[in-house]
Amino acid sequence: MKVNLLRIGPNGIECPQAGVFIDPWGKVDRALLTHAHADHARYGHKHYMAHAHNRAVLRQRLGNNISLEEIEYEETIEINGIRFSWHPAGHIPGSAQIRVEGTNQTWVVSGDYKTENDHFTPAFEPVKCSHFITECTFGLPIYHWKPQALTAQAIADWHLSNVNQGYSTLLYAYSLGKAQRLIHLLKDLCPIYIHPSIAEMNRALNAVGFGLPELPLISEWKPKVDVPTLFMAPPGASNDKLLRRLSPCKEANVSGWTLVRGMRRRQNLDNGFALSDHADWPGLLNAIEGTGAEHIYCTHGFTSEFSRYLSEQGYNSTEIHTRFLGDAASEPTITPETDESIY
Amino acid sequence: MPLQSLQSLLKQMKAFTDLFHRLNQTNSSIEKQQAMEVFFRNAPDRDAVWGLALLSGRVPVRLVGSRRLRGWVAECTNLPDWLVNESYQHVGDLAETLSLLLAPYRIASTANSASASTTASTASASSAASTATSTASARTTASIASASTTASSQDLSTIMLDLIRLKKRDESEQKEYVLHNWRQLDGPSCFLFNKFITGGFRLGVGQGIAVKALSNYMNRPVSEITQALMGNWDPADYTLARLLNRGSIHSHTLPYPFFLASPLLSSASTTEPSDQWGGEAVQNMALHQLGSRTDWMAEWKWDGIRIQMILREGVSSIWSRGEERLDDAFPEIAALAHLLPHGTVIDGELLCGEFPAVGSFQDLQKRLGRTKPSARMTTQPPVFVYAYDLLELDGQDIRRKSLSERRWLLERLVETLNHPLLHASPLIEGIEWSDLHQRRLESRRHAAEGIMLKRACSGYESGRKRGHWWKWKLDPMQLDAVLLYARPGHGRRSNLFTDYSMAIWDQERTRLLPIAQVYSGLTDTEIREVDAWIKGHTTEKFGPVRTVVPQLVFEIGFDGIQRSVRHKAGIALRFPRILRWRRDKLASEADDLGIAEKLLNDRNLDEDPLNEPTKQDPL
Repeated sequence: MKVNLLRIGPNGIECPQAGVFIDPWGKVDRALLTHAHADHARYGHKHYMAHAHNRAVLRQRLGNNISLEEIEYEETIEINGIRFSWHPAGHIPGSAQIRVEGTNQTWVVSGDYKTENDHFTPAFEPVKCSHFITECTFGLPIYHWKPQALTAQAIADWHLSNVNQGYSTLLYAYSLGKAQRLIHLLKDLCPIYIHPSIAEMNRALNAVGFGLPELPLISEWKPKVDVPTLFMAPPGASNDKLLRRLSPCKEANVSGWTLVRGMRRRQNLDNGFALSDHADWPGLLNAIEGTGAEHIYCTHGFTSEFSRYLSEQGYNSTEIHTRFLGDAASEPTITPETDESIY
Repeated sequence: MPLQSLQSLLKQMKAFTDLFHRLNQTNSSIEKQQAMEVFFRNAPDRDAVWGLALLSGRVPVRLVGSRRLRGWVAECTNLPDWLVNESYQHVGDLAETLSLLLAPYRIASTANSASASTTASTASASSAASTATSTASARTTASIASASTTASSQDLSTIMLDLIRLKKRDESEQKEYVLHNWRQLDGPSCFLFNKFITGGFRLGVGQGIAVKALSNYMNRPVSEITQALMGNWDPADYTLARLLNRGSIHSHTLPYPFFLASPLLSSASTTEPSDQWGGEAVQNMALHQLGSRTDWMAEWKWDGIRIQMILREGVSSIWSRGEERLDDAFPEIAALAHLLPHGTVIDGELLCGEFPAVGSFQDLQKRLGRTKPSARMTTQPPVFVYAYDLLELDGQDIRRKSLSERRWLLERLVETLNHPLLHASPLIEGIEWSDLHQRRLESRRHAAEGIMLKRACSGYESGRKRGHWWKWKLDPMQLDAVLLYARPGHGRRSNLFTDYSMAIWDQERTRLLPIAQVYSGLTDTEIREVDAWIKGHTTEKFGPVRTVVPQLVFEIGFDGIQRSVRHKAGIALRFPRILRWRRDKLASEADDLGIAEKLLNDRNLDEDPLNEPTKQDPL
């Protein structure tokens, strides 16, 4: 029997031949990272390799003194005869799919990805391979995203109507990725006040050249003095004292999960906008087709459903169990639906 | 294309779709009321009536069954049935699942028919013809074509009338109509359309808010509008103005809005955390805050069906609190109502049993479900009425008179009538509050749920107005039970495991027996915690149902217990709910059948009228 180039071990996705791991959850010597979200980039490995855009974010999150080797997209690293390269995944700034090429097999580990070009993060590129490990956070056919321009317009319209009624708008968005994408989409619309944790991520990304605008902090907004405006904070901060002084204020979560009405309502917020940094159903299917892979491994999300569907479509598909969390990753406070132990 | 769909949205039942989405975007009752006022102002008159009917839960349409719709959507989207079902399980709402799955199908076809809105009639006729298969389809197509075009481009009332008409047609016609609309309607309207055809249309808005909004808009008092909306009315028959005049046209059969009591905090639960009661207890009053005992009248809180018996202009009617006519189900009570003096309305409780013995609510329910009972069965098991209040006498509305005066008039009326099926609900004597405490503990022996306290000087208000009428229920019976199965809830709770099957041990304490289905009475935080626990402790899946490791113990409360052959444990509980999560208990410490049997036997002993010679209080 042919030995596979990658396998799932107790510490994570492993390439035994090269002695490296991709996004490992156990402590290892060499960790190759797809991106800097907390469920993929964990603390405590001896040596990290990641795309150069992650430099400041990783140092901020994992410590200034981590041993980090920076890689560029398309650059190839050879370790013990195995060739590794990083390719844009379109998920968040710095995100990559990792291609692993041996003598008989080529694997791609998708990490998290989205197929829509958000014109901020380098866009997803399909990479040819024989074995594809794909996320499937939104791997059900109900998940279809609208083009982001439409969602941005809907947010803008809603904000305008809030302001007309004397309310500010508070958007909940992950501080790494979603927040910057929204800032990029909405920055010309109105002043945006941001939560300090978002400001921190903005600085880390600007340090590697992302050119985000300098925005005021929500603590600088004066109730009853300043006019209603747009605020942005991570969902984990929803009980923050900082946010309580922002009223009167309409709140909305910006997340793919809000596509489903029950989820929107359960959050007890005023609105929800389905903008996601993960691929939707057609996005996943197109990405898989684009790789030309015969063997598909489905991780984090609707793995059993998605894998079964792929099998019926003629792929050689299996679900694998990892400890990645998908969209509940960086701030798993509002929607804990993607508990990977379920799927 | 997106602009296109926005415009088509604006054309179709615009006011109602707007209303729906505004209601969805707010948790504030004031804003909901404002949104409804805007709706009543902007909607075409007939749509306003339909909107009102839909808002108050009068939805006459369920066009197609769930299984069939899932089949059709699988066909349209080219997805396997199981995946449609998985999606449904995830979303928790069929109408929404359909609209989400249909998104690509819809967009593709909107692109094709983008300019077709004005020529829709020919377009839809030809597309319908091309999909029709049977030889008889020519006639079918013609009749459907008109329905289809109007549905996709017209107002709410047209769609509703189409749906009612199509209900009587065969499957192929219904399918054509539904598929046509799936292609034509944009997201928000498609969702509403699906809500209509699945018969699942509900809004997170009580009729109370709709009534207030209408009252503001029409500048008519709330009570008048409430009364005009009572009972059954077919929105197809009314304009808004006529609906509101319905009060005078049909007034002789209409009940008054029921006055409802608010819960009184029981002495035992004053120290318990209030959130497990869904926050209700927070606003509760305690007995000692009510003032002097002599200002209050007390009576048993009977566990039957609250009714109004009406005789006006020679026509009798029996209405339940749920605004249903009960005349057919209880002909002997309808006959009794005929004996009332003209212009009489009595508020009372319909109970099962032979006076003065009171039977169980379950027995009463047996009378409700029957469609065509045999002559012998029409009056079995026997029922009678305990009268609480008199609302109308000699054709005069006397609701503003004081309760003590109304009660005096009621007792005289009942006495004069001297009918075996009509009795005044006995007042509970006792000079001190402490006497009442004592009497309340005897409630179960009287087959009552507790005590009602009504201020002697109170008028008969409408709805749940706090301050004058309080219900002081008995603390529920309790068992500690183990969580065995869980399934996801619906609506706001979709995709959260909130519906639980609870079990107790058998006599030998070796096997767990399911004893009750409960919806979570937990706080939102606890619900999420239990949900996460369930997902991590699933041992088996059957469709949406998870079997979990028997580990979590909950205290469940219930108001009644009786034998049942339908339940595995041989016992059925009335109104079971979770009282609290017993984190301090292991599954092995949960209660067993022996304890449940004891509750059952205690109750039956108490309820046997032979053991209770002082059952009737003298009036």
